[in-house]
Amino acid sequence: MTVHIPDGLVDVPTAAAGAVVAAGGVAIAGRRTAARLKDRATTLPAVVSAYLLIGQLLVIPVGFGTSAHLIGTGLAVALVGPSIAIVCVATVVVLQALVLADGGVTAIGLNIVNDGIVPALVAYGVLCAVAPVVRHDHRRAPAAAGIAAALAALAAGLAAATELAVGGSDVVSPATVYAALGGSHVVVAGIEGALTAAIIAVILGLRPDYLSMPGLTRTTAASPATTVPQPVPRRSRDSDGSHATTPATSRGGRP
Amino acid sequence: MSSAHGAAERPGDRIDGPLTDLAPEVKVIALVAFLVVVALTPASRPGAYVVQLLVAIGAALLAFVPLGVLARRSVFELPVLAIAVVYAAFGHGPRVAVGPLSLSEPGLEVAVAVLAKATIGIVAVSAVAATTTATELVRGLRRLRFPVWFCDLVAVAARQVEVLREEAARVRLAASVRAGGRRRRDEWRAVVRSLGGLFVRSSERAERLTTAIALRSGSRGSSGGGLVVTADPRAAAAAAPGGEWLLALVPAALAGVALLTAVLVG
Repeated sequence: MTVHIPDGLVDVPTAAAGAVVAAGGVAIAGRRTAARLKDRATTLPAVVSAYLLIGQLLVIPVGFGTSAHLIGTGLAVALVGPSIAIVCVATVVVLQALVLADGGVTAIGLNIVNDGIVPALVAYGVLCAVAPVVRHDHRRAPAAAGIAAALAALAAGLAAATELAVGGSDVVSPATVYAALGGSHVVVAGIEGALTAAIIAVILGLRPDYLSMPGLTRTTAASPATTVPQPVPRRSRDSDGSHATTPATSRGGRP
Repeated sequence: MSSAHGAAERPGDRIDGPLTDLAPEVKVIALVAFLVVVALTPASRPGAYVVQLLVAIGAALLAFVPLGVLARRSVFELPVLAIAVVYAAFGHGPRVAVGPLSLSEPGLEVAVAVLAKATIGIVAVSAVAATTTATELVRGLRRLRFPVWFCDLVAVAARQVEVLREEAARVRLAASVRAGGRRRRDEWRAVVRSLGGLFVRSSERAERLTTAIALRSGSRGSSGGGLVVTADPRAAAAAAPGGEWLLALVPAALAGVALLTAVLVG
């Protein structure tokens, strides 16, 4: 069960408040993205948004006739940092709501808050907290990303539960809402964490320089794992020819 | 960027029908207005949902939405169903016996309302999505004064979804061939490997895209416009005529009449 709030589940004032918070948060994230990526400010987030949307279509059977898929906000934070992740999730939520009919149109703001802003900030906080451990041994990066993604998914569920408790029907007590959504998200968090850790491990083996996790340094980027030749665009505008999210750009400070 | 990506617009591929020629911003506003009225309808007046659902179905029929699409989208209601079950099972107040179960009466009422609203939403969005391409949708958002950078991002992302969808299918096939067996663990490994590989390919694609745009000097110009979206919302398309705006309010008005009637009669 994902945390997409449909139309009509939450009352109009709560949905409107969610839209205001989402608009503010995405505007800030957008400004930071533009400052960091310059002329890649559209292309990289657009491709990462498409990646997240497609990633949700790859479904894994978990038994009992149910299947799991990635939500991906925690993964996106580990891959491209929190600002770009928020911008990407906002794009994904808008496309899902208006083109795929997945998630409410009046609840777009709430869904951006639940799936984007809240989990991205939580994931980034966790990644920053464990950065010293990752810096010490880069092989711990997948586990760190997994923990961050799991806690992000839990936070997403709790955010949705809070909105439901505030703006949903009051026939059930807030405690029941938290128990139901929190409980189901413990399972979601476990799957999300395992998938994220495994995916980060794969990328760490292929192109570690494409990761933007706090604690991963340039030395990892040049580790023996990069036997794949670096595709340096000839006559590219940027002289270094490197990826927008190499640790060199992200490590210096907050992205 | 268009020719290279072939059928890049499939996520918003449109069906030509009576609603196709309405301006996209009109359709978006009509959709939001209609769904706000539906959201305002109280759970104690379930009769109104029937009328509102009929309005949504009418719009979907006018839009020629294939029934198969609606059926497939009903999976988005599964989480809502879970929430509805929680409401019915754990709601307070008097209990009623439904078969062998003892359910909360007000909880059941809310459960029906929540399911009805979600269904109406999915049908109504399908009517808009079926008659609007992603490109038109972006133009509509721009005319509704969404920021240029965001519209630009949604437009490029919508195209990239189609490109990556094909790439994902190839990567997934390669990964599952390599993972071999049919056991669940192999399935997991295949998905994880494809997602990892797909991100690397996506990042490379973002670089190629940036280079291609730079080569065609399509970077942000002095006008402040985006890669594919112009800065001036009025330049994007001719303004929607007033008649279209009136038409756009018809679904919301019908939903509102249903709501008022249900409240007054009920």
